[in-house]
Amino acid sequence: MATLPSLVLLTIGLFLPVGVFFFFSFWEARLFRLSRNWSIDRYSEVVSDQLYRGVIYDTLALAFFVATIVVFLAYICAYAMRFSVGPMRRILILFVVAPALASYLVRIYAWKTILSPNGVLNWLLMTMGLTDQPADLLGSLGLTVTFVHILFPIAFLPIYANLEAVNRDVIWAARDAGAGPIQTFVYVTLPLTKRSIVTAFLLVFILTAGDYVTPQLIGGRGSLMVGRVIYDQFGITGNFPLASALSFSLILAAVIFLALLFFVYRVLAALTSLVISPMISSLRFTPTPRLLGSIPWGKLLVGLMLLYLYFPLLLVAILSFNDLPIASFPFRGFTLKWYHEIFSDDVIRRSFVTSIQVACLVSILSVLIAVPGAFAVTRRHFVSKPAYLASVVLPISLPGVVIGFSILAVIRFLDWRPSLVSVVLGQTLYAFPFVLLIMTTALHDFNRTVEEAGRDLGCTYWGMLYRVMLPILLPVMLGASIIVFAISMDEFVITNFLVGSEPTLPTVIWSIMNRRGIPPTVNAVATILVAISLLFVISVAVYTLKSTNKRARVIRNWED
Amino acid sequence: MSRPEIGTLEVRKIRREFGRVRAVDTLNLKVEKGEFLTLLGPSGCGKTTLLRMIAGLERPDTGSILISGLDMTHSPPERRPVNYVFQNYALFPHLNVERNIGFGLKVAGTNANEAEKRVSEAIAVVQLQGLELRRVDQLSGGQQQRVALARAIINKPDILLLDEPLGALDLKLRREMQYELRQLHRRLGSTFIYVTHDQEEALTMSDRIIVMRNGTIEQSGSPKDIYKVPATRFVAEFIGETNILLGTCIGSQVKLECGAEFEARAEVSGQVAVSVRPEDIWISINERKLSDKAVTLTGRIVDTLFLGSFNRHKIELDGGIMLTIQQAAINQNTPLPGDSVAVSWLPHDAVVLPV
Repeated sequence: MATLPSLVLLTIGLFLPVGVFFFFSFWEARLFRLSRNWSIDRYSEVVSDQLYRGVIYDTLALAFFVATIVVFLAYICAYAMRFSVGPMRRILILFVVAPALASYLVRIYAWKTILSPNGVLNWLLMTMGLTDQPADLLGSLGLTVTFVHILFPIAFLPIYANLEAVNRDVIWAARDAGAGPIQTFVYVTLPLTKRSIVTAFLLVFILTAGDYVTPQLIGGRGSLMVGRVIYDQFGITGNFPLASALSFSLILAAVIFLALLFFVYRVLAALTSLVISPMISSLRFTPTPRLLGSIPWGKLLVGLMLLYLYFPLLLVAILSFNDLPIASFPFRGFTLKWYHEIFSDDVIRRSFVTSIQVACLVSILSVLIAVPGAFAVTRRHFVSKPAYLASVVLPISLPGVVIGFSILAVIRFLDWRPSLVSVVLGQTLYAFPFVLLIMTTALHDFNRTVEEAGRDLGCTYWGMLYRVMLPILLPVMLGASIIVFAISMDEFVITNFLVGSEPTLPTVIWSIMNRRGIPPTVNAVATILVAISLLFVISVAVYTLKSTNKRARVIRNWED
Repeated sequence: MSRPEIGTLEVRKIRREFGRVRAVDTLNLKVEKGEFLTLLGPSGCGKTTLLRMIAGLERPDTGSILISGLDMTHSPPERRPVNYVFQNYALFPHLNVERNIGFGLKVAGTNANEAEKRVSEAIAVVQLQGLELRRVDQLSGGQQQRVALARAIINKPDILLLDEPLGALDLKLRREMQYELRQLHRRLGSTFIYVTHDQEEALTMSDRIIVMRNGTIEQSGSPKDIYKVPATRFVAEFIGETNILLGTCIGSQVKLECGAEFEARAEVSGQVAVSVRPEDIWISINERKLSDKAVTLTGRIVDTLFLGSFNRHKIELDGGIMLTIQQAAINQNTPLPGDSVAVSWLPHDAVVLPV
């Protein structure tokens, strides 16, 4: 029963649309109308066309490349954060989370500002006299750099959480048993964090493979990615069947690719244990030279990471005050005119209000739908629990372009029009899994005897929920709904498909970004958005840290 | 391998601070080969920090540590001939029982046959036969404890360091494991350094006890010495139960606030605290003296607890001071609450301490 609201949402927002969308791939588009001639022609088109095949291959290769780099960097940084930074890391982690929750478009835009022909980097190169022509920095290289940056926090968080859960004494126990630092890492730390590495890799891989925004802004002319091609099928040609066939081909290709990868990994792992392990055993600890040993490498790395995460945002903010008609250097003088411009822009203002309304609605709905689900997951036994959990994480693990397109396809199919209703539906679908996961953790950690005490002291079940559980869980619920608020304010990938005549703020920003000769008004909007989201996330996190964790924190700090 | 220093430990002027807290404060310590030494003290006294510094899990700010005669102050843990049994066991969650125990051999590159033999020996020592392939999270607390122990002793350490290894076990299992640890110590003949806050455990198991407080050593001695002749009021109160009576001491003449006077071998003068153990105090209904030298006071029984082999009385002295007295429960005419009684003890059972 408790899972019903979430199942209804999943059915309406995901299972039905994706199912219908799947049927589309067997139909045909003729002059902007669907004709229901069943065939697999779309798939053979995808397979036989050099362009589509190449695009799918390039996309998967890039996704693999990006995921590998991101996971590697994120692991090193998470490791440094976990083991070289003291109790301060519980605050620092918020600064890694904050840009991940808000500013998806802004961060891509920041890289466009840096990499485009008249952008910051080219300005720098030309001022220093290294080139006299703007270098072409967009394309594959630019794409990789941008993806690595925007997806870094997504890989960092699960790995960091996993490392945080590793008992430090377990690592010390390995050292104590005679393992050097390298052996300890290979035999203990790495195996204990394998799962989060896989999770992080998959997340980054999927998000890269399905993205259509970054290729549009950064990809330049040369590099195509499936996400963008799918998006173009909708935007330019309206060829839904082909878009659908491309989507499912992408998913199938990704699954095959990942299965292959897993197979290769197993073979490599087997070889490793035969060949590498004896080598590792012969490695003895060599003390680091005094000079190198005295540098706090870990703290340095964490500092660099934060710098890396924030410098593009900082750049966007600085340029928002620059009195130059394009968002680039040189700095001509301080001005607030871009801010004046956006505050007097009716479209931006209205879209901001729309976004806030949508975000409020999505927050409330997500909590209402997710909380009963979280109760069911933590407090009841039902056979289909693994299946339920798998479907719950589906909205965040499927490429947004597929979800958005599916819902839109159904709306078109029924001859309805996209509106704020579909926006709220799409965003709630995407946001409620976060609440469900947060609440599941909270309920899992919840001391169940408190519930029993409530019942023992005379409460009915519902009375206990209201008088005991609700007050205790309220801070968590509040925190979760504010995170959802931030996600909703920022959501673009799905929303872009589902907006009707009332655009949300990110979709308006998107349309400004796609104009030629970007004016720094985008920077002004972006700066305000980032500032708001930073403020929000940090205040919420500080509040929850203070109220729910005080005692635990004191104990943990002492142990550190 | 026959150097005489094997298994000895020397800690010189060691110090470690956490922020403003001085966890271990300029401490010196020597441990003999084969000794069962217990570091005893309340939580926060620095005993675990000291043990972790010996193992190399924590760096001292100043001072040096010599293990088996070699300066190991700056050696990483894997280079020290010691092994550590962690308070919460710190078993490797991704390895089964056998692999947890054999971990040290694996990283040392011991050949497979030899390793297999030693693992099964270690498993036999801690009596875990049949559980070799079990995941460690499927073991009971006592079994996990044994795995942790086997994982440490398999490396044949010169010194075994045990950090409250029995703290998480229930009373009955703890008693059993105390006995087994003693047996193991005798069998291996290696040095054991044992950390606990449980004074009873320390008394039953150790050759020598070091009582710690605020990062320094309060007293070092055999369990009997520590119990019978505590060096400070803190030790007297921390080890076992005692009655503290305040008074003054001039020369060897002690005068208690509750009225009694007696002669004692005292090294302090002025304000003193006199510690008398509950079992050293005699109780009688008629005011029969224990001996001529005995210190005698009168009072009234407030409450009596029956504890099986003995009774414990709470007595309010005429001056209002409360005393605890323990008396073997042999005779039938035990005094009852409300009875007026005389209590007495022999001067040499009273320890005169600075306040």
